Amino acid sequence: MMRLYRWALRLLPREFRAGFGDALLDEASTCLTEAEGAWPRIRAGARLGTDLLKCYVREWGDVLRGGVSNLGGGVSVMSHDTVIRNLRFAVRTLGKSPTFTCAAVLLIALGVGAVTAVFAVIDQVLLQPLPYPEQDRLAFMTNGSHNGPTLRGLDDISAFDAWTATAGSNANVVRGGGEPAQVRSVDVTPAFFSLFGARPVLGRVLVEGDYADRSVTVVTSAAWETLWGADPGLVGSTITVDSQPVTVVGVLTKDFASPERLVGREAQLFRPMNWDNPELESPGTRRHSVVVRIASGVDLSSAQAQVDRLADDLFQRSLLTFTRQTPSWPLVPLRDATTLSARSGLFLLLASVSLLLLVACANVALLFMTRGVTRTREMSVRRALGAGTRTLVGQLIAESLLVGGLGVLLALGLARVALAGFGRWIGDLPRGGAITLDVRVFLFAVLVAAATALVFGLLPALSGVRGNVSAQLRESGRTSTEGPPLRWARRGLVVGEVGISVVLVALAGLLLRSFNEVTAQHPGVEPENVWTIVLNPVGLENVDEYRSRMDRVLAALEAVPGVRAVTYGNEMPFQFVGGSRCCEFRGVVRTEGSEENILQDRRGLPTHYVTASFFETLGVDLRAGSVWGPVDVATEPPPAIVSERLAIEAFGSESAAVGQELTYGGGESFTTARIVGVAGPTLHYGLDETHAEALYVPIETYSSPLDESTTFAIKLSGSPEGALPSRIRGAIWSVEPNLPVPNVQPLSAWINDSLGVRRLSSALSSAFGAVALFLAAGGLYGTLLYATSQRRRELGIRMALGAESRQVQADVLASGLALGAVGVAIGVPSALLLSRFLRSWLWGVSPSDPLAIAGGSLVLLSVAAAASWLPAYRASRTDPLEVLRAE
Amino acid sequence: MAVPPVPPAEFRVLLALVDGPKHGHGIRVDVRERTGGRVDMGPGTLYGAIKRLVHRGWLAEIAPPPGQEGDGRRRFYELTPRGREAARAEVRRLGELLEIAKAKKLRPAGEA
Repeated sequence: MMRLYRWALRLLPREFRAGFGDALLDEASTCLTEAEGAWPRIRAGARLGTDLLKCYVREWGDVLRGGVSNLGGGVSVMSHDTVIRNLRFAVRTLGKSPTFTCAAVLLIALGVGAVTAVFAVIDQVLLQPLPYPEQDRLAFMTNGSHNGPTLRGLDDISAFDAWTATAGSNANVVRGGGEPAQVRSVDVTPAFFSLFGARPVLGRVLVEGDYADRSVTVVTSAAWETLWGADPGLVGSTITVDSQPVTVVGVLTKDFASPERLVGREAQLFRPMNWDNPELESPGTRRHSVVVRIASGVDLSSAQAQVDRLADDLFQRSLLTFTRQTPSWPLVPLRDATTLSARSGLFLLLASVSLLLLVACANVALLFMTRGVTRTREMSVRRALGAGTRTLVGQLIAESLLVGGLGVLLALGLARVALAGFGRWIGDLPRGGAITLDVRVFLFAVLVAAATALVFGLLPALSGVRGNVSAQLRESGRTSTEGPPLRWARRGLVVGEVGISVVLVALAGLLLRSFNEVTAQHPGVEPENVWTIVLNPVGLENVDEYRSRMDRVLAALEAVPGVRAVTYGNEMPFQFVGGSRCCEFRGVVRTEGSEENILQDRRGLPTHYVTASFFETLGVDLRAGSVWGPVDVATEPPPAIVSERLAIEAFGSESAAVGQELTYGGGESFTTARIVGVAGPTLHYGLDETHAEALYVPIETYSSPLDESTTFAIKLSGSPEGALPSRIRGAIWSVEPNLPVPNVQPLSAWINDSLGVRRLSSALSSAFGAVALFLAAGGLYGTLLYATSQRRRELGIRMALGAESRQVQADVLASGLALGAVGVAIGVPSALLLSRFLRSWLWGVSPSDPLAIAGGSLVLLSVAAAASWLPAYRASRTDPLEVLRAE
Repeated sequence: MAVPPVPPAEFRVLLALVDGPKHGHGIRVDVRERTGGRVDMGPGTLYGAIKRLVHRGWLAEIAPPPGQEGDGRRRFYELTPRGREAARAEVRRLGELLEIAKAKKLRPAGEA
């Protein structure tokens, strides 16, 4: 990091560097050593970077003004004048070459706009502090899957000065009049409100006294508005939550943002934690999320040490049942815990747009270089007439800054459009929501554009004001030619942008290929005309009541015209994709009465509780045996259907599995079932799911928690007529008038949603690849065109001496292809190197997939050939007579 | 004629030096401690401000005070009489603004 800083200091004006360079370096290294840990160090580094960028602007500004700025007007009138004069001059010169100006401004806008949009997202999601008091001392405590500290035990940890635990669930709210609504209700402990700075706009927050009698709630401002139309009379009134009367005691302020890592973004009701729940005092509890505030002056590692001691103590006392070793409950800073899932994707995005910016910058540099060369003569005349280098450089700076300034205005517009266009996706990110282009983002864009304009605009243009004036003036010809160093720099830039484009195109190819692989998977179910309905039956006395009421809903849905089959279960395919899933057990397979622990150590046998009509409704075919009937369900052991792969792995074949017994469960409780059928494979948890084992068990044997959601699926005999959701709601409310029906959607929508991130990443990377390709082609084309125009004299003479036009054409084409080939030669190994970071994003495609990498190279080479063709053609049409006449 | 305002970073450096000469790092530490860690000037901001103030004749570089010569790399700065005058002018300017705010009963943020 310090090496980078030392290098970056060299970009400061020499005078300032000589005076303060060492002091800056000392201070910067102090800043870095003061920061402890990887993340704070990165933040300190970022702060140093912004500080230095601002310093560039100020110090170069001073140089540009020709001295240190003074306070007030009087003294500095002259330097102020110079700035105005330089800018006015820049407007005039740029106005004379509108094509150049537009191209440079567009390139800067494109590159800077893309980077700015991504930075705005990263800034809001990863960099901004959480909106809570002392947020840097808040830490999320990760529980084990079946164990965690007892909540009261947290009081004994001296490293914490406060803690809170939350448990969220869906709740049904009945308001006076209107449809029943499903809301997200969260049980919280007393410290919750102070830890997260939640204040009431009406009424009060929960206090200790509320915990004895739990019939009170606080609602969020959003819920107050959407559910109760911001009725000021709500506070003090009684609402029905899960069939219980509950008094609303307060409404939180609008600016309160729920800590989403704990309670999700949609939390609507906050209710007192039920301390009578024995789970709270059992270390085997895992249904709570815990956030602690680390006491001031205590660092994370010593707090962690205290947590580790507590875990070890509980384990030694054998209070933790679901683990064979001391578990670890890591403390993670709340901000990191909140945004962890988005980090790698955002950094991948930042890397891609940065590469894109580099390609755009290369083109900006090429443009300015060409311009610098063509102005060599102008500059040498002006120098001969007495213009100082300082004046000329000042004007060039003004020119590049003006281009940069126009570029940044356009870039901010582009960034706004991009952020609005991707708003839905950004909203799904942790801490997503509406992204605003605030001062920080604006500053970032200005700095990137200024750096781009100065480094890639000014440096190449400077070539025009260097060198021997008299030699330049003596040179014959109206056009100037560039010397070998510039020619090499130009080739280097073209090769570089071709190389970067190869990387971007190859990465896009990899993501596209894996997207295709995933969508080519057959889900194992027939989603046509299948609709799903998520319900949340609560307040039920027992399992029998649950089943009889759900069966009534099932009968009501079957009576809806056009419905062919209806099923329900604890979840339906594609409802949960990725990490969260329901009911995984370890399986034990028992054959012929003797226990054979084939699946003993295999974690995660997904178990689906469904009605017998599941297979018909979802179109899952049976490979052997048959679906259970009412008689089967009533006999012991109860029936089950296994997936094909489980049957083959455990019993050798599908038919051999039928009639066998299987034991499954977790912890200490196991259940035995009799296999009556074998189902075809289904990709229950997403098309990119590789875990095809599954167990289907009758819903009649479902004795698990009653407060979990239930999902219905219906198969229609044809395409749905309009207003299906409202007819479905009507049918359900005819038997369950107080049950909210929040979510009615086709199964294909779940499948589509499960592909969202993959679709977005492949679309974005394809767009980046296409733009890079276009820019690289433009750079190559421009360079060749320029080179042939420089060689006009030589070509004319060669053709006058009898060279064939085809020969000339091949010559130019070959030089273009050579540049392209060198670029590809650099790009391919870079792509291979970088694609390894993409591994977790790929599916069914290796990071070094030859098709994607070779395809990318081939695309680049053909584009290089196409870009070279026109300059080659023009070169071959050089008219010798015309050239010689011009001499 | 109204006195032009002193930029915040420069004013902080002036204030840090009111009670005696300090080196660059000392100024940064003083600013940080006086503000309870809320203001931490980056090296570029700090030395940019020092450069400007020296140039304007408000700060002067001096030999290390006795007892602190040990670290030859550290450069010490003290307030010149003109610098002190400028700082006092800025204090008066800010004071006048504060008076106006008080007269209009504008309470500072964070107070009830």
